[in-house]
Amino acid sequence: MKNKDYIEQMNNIHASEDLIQKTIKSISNIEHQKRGYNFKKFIAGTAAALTLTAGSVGAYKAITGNSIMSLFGLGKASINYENQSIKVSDKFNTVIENEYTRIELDKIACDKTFLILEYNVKIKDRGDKNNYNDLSETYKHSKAETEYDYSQGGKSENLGLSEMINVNGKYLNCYTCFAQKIDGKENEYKLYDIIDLMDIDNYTDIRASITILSVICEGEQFFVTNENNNYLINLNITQDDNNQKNIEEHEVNNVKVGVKNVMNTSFATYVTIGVKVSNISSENCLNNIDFESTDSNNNKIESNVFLNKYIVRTKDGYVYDVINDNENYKETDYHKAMYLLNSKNKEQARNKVNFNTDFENADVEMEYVIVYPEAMNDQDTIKCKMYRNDNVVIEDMVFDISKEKQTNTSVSSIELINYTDKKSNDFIISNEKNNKEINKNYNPDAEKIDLYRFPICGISIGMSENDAINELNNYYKKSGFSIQCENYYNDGWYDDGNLSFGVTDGHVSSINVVECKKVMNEKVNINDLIKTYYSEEYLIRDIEHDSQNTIATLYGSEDFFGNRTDSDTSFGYVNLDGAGRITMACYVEGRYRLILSADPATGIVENIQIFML
Amino acid sequence: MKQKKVEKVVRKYADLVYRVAFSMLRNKDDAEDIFQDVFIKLCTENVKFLSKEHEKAWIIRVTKNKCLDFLKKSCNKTKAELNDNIKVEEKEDDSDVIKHVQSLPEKYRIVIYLFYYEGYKISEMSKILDINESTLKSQLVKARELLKEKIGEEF
Repeated sequence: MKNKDYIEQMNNIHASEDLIQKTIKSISNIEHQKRGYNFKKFIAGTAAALTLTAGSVGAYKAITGNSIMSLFGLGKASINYENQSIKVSDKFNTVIENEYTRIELDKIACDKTFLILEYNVKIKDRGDKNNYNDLSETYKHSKAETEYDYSQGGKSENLGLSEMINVNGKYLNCYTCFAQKIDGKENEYKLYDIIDLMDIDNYTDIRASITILSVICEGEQFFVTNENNNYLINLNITQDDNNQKNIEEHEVNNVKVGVKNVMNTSFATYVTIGVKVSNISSENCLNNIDFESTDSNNNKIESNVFLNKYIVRTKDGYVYDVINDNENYKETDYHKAMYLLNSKNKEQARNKVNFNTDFENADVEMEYVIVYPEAMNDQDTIKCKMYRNDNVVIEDMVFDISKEKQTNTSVSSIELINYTDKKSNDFIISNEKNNKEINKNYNPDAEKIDLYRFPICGISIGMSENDAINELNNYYKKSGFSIQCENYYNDGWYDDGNLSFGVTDGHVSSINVVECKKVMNEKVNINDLIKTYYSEEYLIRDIEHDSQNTIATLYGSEDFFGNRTDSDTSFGYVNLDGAGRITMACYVEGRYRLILSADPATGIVENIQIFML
Repeated sequence: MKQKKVEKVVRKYADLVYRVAFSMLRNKDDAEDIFQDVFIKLCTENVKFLSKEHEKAWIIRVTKNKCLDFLKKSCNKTKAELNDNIKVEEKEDDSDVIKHVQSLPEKYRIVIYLFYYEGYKISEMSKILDINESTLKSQLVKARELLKEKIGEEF
């Protein structure tokens, strides 16, 4: 039988090492770009804009017109932004500065869709860019969100801020950021943060807290001071609700698309397309959606899929992910794509939506009329309509910027989550409270996506609706206060866990004892902390507690999860953040515990969060 | 996806992707292009899988689809199918059998590969390739017949 010969000969066909290496490098480069530019909310349909924006600083220079804001979407939004933005640096001291960076919040603009912050950023001291270790020591940075491998070179030339954004009590981890080098000035940039407010309930009263944690420039991370790095922005917005909702809907096979919303704001006209996919299976998922808008004369209207929103959020949170992530969303979920439409007096628009599943393509055309509000009937009118005067009354100090010193954090409850792999195909998630284990299958109805959220500590647990996947994210991710533990598969294959924390203050030895209360009646003393090779990691030694599982010695590791196969070894590390908070992690008897502490002054940890694996 | 995981994934499925692509395209350079595309898609689109088998099936299907796209775009398909005696890229240890399999039309090559080399059942192949089982069975029979003609004995 010749098929055995075939198998033998096929065994001799291999992908070359060179090809493997090239592929790994290509993927790595793409990942770096994705992370660096924060363009995760764009889908493939915005590829052109993405390329332009993410190309290089040189590409920015080629753009003429108002500013890089034109890249934000279209000319109209750019013009409106220029007209409506409020220069705040004249009225307030908005400078955050240390020996490495200088950040100034220069302008603010806001409508009911976006809050736009314009910064002037200067990198003052680059240090030795070519030496990873020196860089690490100099800037005391963590591995940061990207775990950027400085030794690999290929630094991107972008600029971004690591920041924590809270608007009306809601932490937003999806935003878009554009940067542009200022002509003729070395290491000085204009940077625009575009914060999506459309998930905010009360857009008329915006209370935003922006905490700047670091500047990431050309692959390097420059931490700002941990004090006075917070802007509080209060904005009152009065704007008529000119939305047109649920205009039209079409269904083709298992995909339903519809114009959900047409919204006129001070910046632009936005059209929201809802996409609902039912009967999802691994073989039948939506792969891509393209949009095109035309006017009633069939002329193409300049438009761009600017923003994609969705009900089910993934950790990366962009619709392209969700579409492909067919196990992770329910039939009832709507995925929304936000259009930014540059229509000049167009009263009628036609949307052509093309989407494809694994097996077929479908075109859907939707026609709808955009009803402009009277005052915004004409683009010139819109241009002249000063958002600043109409909606933000600076004189009455409704608009306010101030800085707030960072305060200590606290956690309001104790939760323990136990992930066990008891079934072959599913992870079972158990909850333990008060040392009493309650095993139960993960119930997506009862425990929604954000199962436990302690954003104030910078940590949350994102629970996908797929039992086999869980993830931990935290809101300090971009600062280097990074905890990730994601994509655990039933075969033990997993993403490398990443537990790296940010700025250390170098006073580790001054904290000898950390007493943990309310941790399942355990008392944990850390008697000695020894700094490891990496500045952000520490060994924990001689930990005592009164539970039955006494830990004698914990060994540190540069990669917490990388060594977890050695189940006989307990190891872990502790870390201090910039505010002196202690974070301790240890791996005990096959389980991983993470203990967060809050108050370095007393050493008492009042609130603890523990994760167990 | 982190660097280590990327490396892990690429190494884990490198030969699979390469062999599927090579089986379909019969050309090393083209297979290498597809190879990169598949892993870029896998690693940058954050696709989640229920199991290893699910993942493997996804990879095979994406590889196949990308090969088909490639063939359509480059018109290679037409050229290849018009000429069953197209010269298959030689490898050092290449011998008659693999060459004969590679000289089959594309739809038979992938079926032979998955059935004999990867050991998939017809029902599994049906899901992966999105081809119904009876069609697959007849393709397999036809492929065997063609090979028998070429090789001179049962495959």
